[in-house]
Amino acid sequence: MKFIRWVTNIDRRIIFLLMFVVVLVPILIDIPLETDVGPTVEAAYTAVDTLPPGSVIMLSVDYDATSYPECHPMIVAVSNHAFSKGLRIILVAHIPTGLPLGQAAVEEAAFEYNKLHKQEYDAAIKQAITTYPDTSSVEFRQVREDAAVKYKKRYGVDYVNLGFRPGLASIMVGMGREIRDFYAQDYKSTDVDSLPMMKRVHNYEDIALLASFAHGKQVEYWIQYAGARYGQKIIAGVTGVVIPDLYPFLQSKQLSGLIGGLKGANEYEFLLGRKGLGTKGMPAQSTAHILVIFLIVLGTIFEFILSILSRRKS
Amino acid sequence: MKRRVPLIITFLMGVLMVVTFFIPREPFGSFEQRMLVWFSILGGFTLLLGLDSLVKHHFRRIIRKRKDSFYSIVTLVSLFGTLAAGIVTWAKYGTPLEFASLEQIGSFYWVYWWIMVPLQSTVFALLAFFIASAAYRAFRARTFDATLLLVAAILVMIGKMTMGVVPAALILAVFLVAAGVYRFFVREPVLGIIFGSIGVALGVLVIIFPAAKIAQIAPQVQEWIMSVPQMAARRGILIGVTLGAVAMSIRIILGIERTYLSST
Repeated sequence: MKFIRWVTNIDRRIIFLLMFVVVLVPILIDIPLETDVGPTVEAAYTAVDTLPPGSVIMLSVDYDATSYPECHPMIVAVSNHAFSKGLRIILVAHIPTGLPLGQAAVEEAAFEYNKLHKQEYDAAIKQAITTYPDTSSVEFRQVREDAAVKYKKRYGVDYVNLGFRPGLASIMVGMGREIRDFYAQDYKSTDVDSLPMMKRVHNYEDIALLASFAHGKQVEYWIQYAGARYGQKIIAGVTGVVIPDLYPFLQSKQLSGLIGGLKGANEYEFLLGRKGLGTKGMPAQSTAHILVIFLIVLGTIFEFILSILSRRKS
Repeated sequence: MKRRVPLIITFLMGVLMVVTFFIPREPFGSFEQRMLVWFSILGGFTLLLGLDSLVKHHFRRIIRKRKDSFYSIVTLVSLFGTLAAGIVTWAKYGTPLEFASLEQIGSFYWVYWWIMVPLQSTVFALLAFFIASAAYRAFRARTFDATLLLVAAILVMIGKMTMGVVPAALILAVFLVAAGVYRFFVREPVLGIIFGSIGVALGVLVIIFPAAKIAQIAPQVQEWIMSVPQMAARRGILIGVTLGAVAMSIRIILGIERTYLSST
């Protein structure tokens, strides 16, 4: 009895230490994982994958650093996927402290794409110089531009960052008529009309897919205001706690795909054939889950024993 | 007058916004768009109000030398320091969010990336430790409902794992057997038999089936829990909440609900 009482009142710092160890060890050791892709992530992947090249995808940054480990790998993976499919990205944010994270994700994806295709771009330029030695000629410039379109992701041409504007729902509704009414300038105070990519983008009709990365209710607002009213196709990347809220919208097809939690990010990276933060973080999440399950069961069993013993006594 | 004017404005705007939603043709469409832009502008001013309130509050605390006013100093120094970093970067690059790469960033981004992000992440990461502690101390399956809730929660957690599914499933089997034994002692033998036999069956299945098969089934079980019983409950809650929101909106538009006019 004494032992059981001691165990049930164990110093919580021991539990903290256990959690620290089970999270740290899998991060330090590279553990190979088997990943089974769920239907919701597959649907989100397909929604991006089946868009024709040149389509516009809007990424809404609706999370901040508190949800960085779960949401950031998703936005990085979707940005990489979008660039690899030749899609163009518009970045908006409804949480001001989340915008820089979204920007970092898209910039990193562009940087990665440019690095991957650097040799092809350099080869195309080299070929152009051989064919048109006069680098100021119209022909050379045209070939250089064609090579850039194919092998480079450039700000204003392939992606823009419209920044943060206050007024969550009003912006979502208003963008259905005209984006410029709310985002006349981008985050660098450049006129949106002067950005080549934005010339033909005015409202949801010009946006093929909207992806909201959120740790709160923002996805539901997108569904209500952009989806239900304007028929905007939407996918979402959310933290684990938000997943249950969105299942009704998945079944009603108001949400075309859902990347849920770190596992969702891991599954998306698996489909993309890319090892990112989602893949690296999954072993630690799995071991932490085992510990939590073990602690729940252990605590409950000791509680059962105490309860039975006290009943017998009385 | 002080009460009536806001009530009239609320009524007119509420009715007009409902009308513009259902009749998007001109002039209602443009009117709605204008109202939405105004709303966004007002949203910007609320940020300024928040800033004003924060600064005033902490200044007062510092001037009156309240207890822990040191933290107020830290808050204000952080606030104005970040603001200064933003202005400097803006003047230099035309935007506070200058980001060429993580090695080449403006001072505002530096503050954000190297101070704010780690701080926010750290505070949130502490949850893992508290959840582990709470899991041990607070989650108890004293009743039938609580046992069902715990089993469902554990199944969802197992479905979200990419490794260690078999040991976790075995722990769940042990839990079910223990719950079954406990139900016997509290004179609920039927429940005891049900829980106990499910636990034994689960344990046997986990041992007999190959680990890969168990790892494959676990996400499917989790998917079923999420998309059938969980969603049914969630949908009911959603419909209830939405009907409540509609009722509250009508009350506000008609002036029945006046709590938002705090001073009147």
